[in-house]
Amino acid sequence: MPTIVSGCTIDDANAEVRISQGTATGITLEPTVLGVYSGCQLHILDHIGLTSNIINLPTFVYGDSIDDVCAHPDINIPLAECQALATFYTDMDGVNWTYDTNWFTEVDVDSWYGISLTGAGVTKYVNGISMPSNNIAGDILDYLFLDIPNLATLDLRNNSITTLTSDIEFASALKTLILSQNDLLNIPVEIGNLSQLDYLDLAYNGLTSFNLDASQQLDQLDVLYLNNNVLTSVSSEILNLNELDILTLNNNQLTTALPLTANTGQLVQLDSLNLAYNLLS
Amino acid sequence: MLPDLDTLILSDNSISTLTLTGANLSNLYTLNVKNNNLTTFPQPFGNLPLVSVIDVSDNDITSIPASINLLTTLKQLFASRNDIAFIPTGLADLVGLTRIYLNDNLITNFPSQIGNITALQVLYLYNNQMTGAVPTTLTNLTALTSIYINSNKLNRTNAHLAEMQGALLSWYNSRVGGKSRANQ
Repeated sequence: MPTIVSGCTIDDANAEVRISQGTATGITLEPTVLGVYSGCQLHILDHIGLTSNIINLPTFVYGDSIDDVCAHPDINIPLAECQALATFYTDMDGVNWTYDTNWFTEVDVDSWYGISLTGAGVTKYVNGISMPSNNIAGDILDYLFLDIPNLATLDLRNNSITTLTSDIEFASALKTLILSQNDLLNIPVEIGNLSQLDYLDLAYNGLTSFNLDASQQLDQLDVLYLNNNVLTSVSSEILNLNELDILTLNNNQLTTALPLTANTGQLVQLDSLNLAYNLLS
Repeated sequence: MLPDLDTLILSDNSISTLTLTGANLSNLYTLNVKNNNLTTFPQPFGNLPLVSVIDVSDNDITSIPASINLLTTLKQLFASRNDIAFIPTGLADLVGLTRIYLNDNLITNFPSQIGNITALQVLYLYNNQMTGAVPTTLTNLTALTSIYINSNKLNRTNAHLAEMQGALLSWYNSRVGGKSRANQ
């Protein structure tokens, strides 16, 4: 007897429960997503496919809760890092991500989609999150940087990220930050505190300005992509990025070029400067 | 400032003047100022000791300064679609030039000095106002692979063109002689 289920929610978000098998004496539910299911209905169909009966199912848990997963001995990262990934998943629309292979399964976290680990011991540490084009939506909040202290690479290009927290300043190990092709409208000035950052790609967002203050410590920054935004200004502090090799400011709304003065010692390493498609006159 | 800069792209803006003083561009290899509102070449050239590619296409530049002979490292000059009427003799000093694009300008005299630039591979001079004979010096351009000098008012019956080689001969045959093409 064929059956379908509808009306389910998982943690208050819509989700579908798939029935893999059913018998006259019992039905096994195999949802595709771990978590808490409520509001599920079992539709009993007759032989021509019409609903003959509806059974309201009680709330049930499929699999371990995320907290249980994070505490599991096979999870080889610190609890706080696992919980930060869990928050990242739930806050940033994880159920709609294109890929989340192995997430919240009790295996080596290095096999979780997009996650890379570092460390030689049994316990390892998250040092990379690379999930380009993964349908990630929302705000990047503090937990990623406060709770994952070894994070060196964060590549979330081509998603739907709307803000970046000023707590980015706590990502003291961050070397590569790629947030191009998102929906960012501004970048917190605290990004200037990332003294290890060497690659920063913020192209193809909606940035109207890019500001650094005089205390910026971007002493390792080699590459800065700010092209294809709607920048009308960049702060003069950009001139003090003395390791910078590549600076793209093309396709913006700049009316004046960099505020270069006759001072020496500005942008001394710069190899390539692109200011095409602006409003320079 | 910018002593390491090798690529500077300022294309597609509304820049009307670009002065290269005040910046140390001693390492600049490519200068792209295409599609702006320049009426003169970015200068002074003396500040560009290593420049290899200059693109000033699609501006309103009226002449090439005589001091262009200072750009001794220049390999490619893109200056199409300007209002250039005058080509200085000093252009011939740039013996490393392999590509010259001067089509769609207002040049009235064929720049015969180009015949001294024997490394030249590409020469675009089409759609100008040139009159008179195609200079005999062009027969020196044995490396030439592409030449477009159509859409001018040139005399097409130069006997010496029969001695031409390669691309220039093809051009001659297709544009002037017509004979070889007709026989093919």
